Amino acid sequence: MKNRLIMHLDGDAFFVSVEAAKDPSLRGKPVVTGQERGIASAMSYEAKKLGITRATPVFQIRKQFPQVRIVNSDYDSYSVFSRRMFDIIRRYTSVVEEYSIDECFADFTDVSGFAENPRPTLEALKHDIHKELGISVSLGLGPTKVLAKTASKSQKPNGLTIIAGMGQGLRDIELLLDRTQISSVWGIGSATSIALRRRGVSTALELARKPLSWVEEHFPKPVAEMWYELNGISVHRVHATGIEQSETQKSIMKTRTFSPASNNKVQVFSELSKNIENACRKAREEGLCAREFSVYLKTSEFSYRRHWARLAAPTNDPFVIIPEARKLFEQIFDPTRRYRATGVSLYSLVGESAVQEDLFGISHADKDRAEVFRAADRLNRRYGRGLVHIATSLLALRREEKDERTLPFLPRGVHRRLVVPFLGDVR
Amino acid sequence: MGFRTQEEEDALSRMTMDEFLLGKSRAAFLVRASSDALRGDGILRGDLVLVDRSLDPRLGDIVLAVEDEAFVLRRFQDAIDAALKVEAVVTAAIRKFR
Repeated sequence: MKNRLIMHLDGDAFFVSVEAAKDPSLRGKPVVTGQERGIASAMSYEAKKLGITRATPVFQIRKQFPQVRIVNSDYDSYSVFSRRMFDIIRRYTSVVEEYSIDECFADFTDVSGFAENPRPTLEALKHDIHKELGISVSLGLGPTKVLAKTASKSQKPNGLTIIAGMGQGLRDIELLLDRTQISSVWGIGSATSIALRRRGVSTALELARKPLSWVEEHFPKPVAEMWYELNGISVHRVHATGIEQSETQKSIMKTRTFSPASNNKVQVFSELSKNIENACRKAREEGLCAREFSVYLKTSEFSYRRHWARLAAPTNDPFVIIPEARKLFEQIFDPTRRYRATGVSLYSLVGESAVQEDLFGISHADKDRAEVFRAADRLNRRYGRGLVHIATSLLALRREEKDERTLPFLPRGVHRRLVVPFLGDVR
Repeated sequence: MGFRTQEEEDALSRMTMDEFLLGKSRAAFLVRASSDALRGDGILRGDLVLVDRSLDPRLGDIVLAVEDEAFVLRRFQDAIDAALKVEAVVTAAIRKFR
């Protein structure tokens, strides 16, 4: 089996770095975001040095450290910078898994020429991000996700840590794993790390050195998978995310951020409905049906909730998927929170022709509807998206029109939209 | 210069404002001119100015630079400007009359 080459990228103090990219007076200074919430949500390295941590109250920072600059969080900017950052990475490989707003995995295994000499490519990638966005990132490269993430964390900020060269690099891996506490290994929760400690395992290296049979005997499967990952055998693959997918796609994903954030249930579901409609259209365009799908909601604090379901039969019919999505939505929607994005992913895609109609009990009504969708797709292609759509998506579409009126750089029907951040008045 | 070909005409008529202003730029930002310092270069107070961080400045370009911890618009002149901390190159100015 081919050794994988997986990169983990982590933005350095991402929120604060974005603020400093937008405002030169913040550069090199102790800066904290989260003024609007009354507690620090992100700190610059200079602020961290003062001992300020996440959730330190703003009034306390003001009193104790009057030199610290405290700014409001600007989630719209963070999300634009994030999207641009991931798009830069996609210039180098199409297999990019957005893990959070400032973190991703990317698989370089099939990028020709990369394995022989990965450093120049990774340096170019870092350079592009710094030049185009004015922020720095830390990279780790390894044969597994866990090792890549351990590598990127080992040297921050502005780090580039390669542990892919298994031959002469073996010693480096061991040193790195020896320095890594078991509790800070990605994917090991606090309960598991306590259980591991109790059995004498307190560093990543100690876990990697145990015999697999010992791990399997005392711990559940995820810990055994961790053992493989720490020993350089990839178990967790990089799942490409994002709207632009390669031909080898295993899923279709549609997501959209809206502003301002909303806790209006009808509105948020409408956003989700529109994404489902678009994902289904994409599936129809490619002649694919989904067996499984997931929906997610993102809150204004960027926490995600995702739920997954299996469909009775493979389909690309939004009238089938939307009622199923509503059930999931009811489970995860929390009216006390404000949401800023919804998304849907269609998985386990099979060709439309592979769907055996009678076996899966597709009724004539469904077939008629398939005909209706084909007609609607034709109309939308000719006259622009959104001409023909499902009523539950209506609110989201109206909202989209409103957004466009206030943002001159988002005209309707442009498929490659680019939001241009405003940096303020300039002498 | 010469006349545009039919293909070029077609491309223009299908072009949206952001395609026209941004082209292939993926590193565009906007600022607003707050002074008439670059009046001679055609940038007036109140203009929206598009800049691109991915471009390298050439002689005669108008650039967005950092001076005294603030963004400023300057003409990129000569070797003296080596000290100028260039952040981005100006690609367009947008002005509305009413």
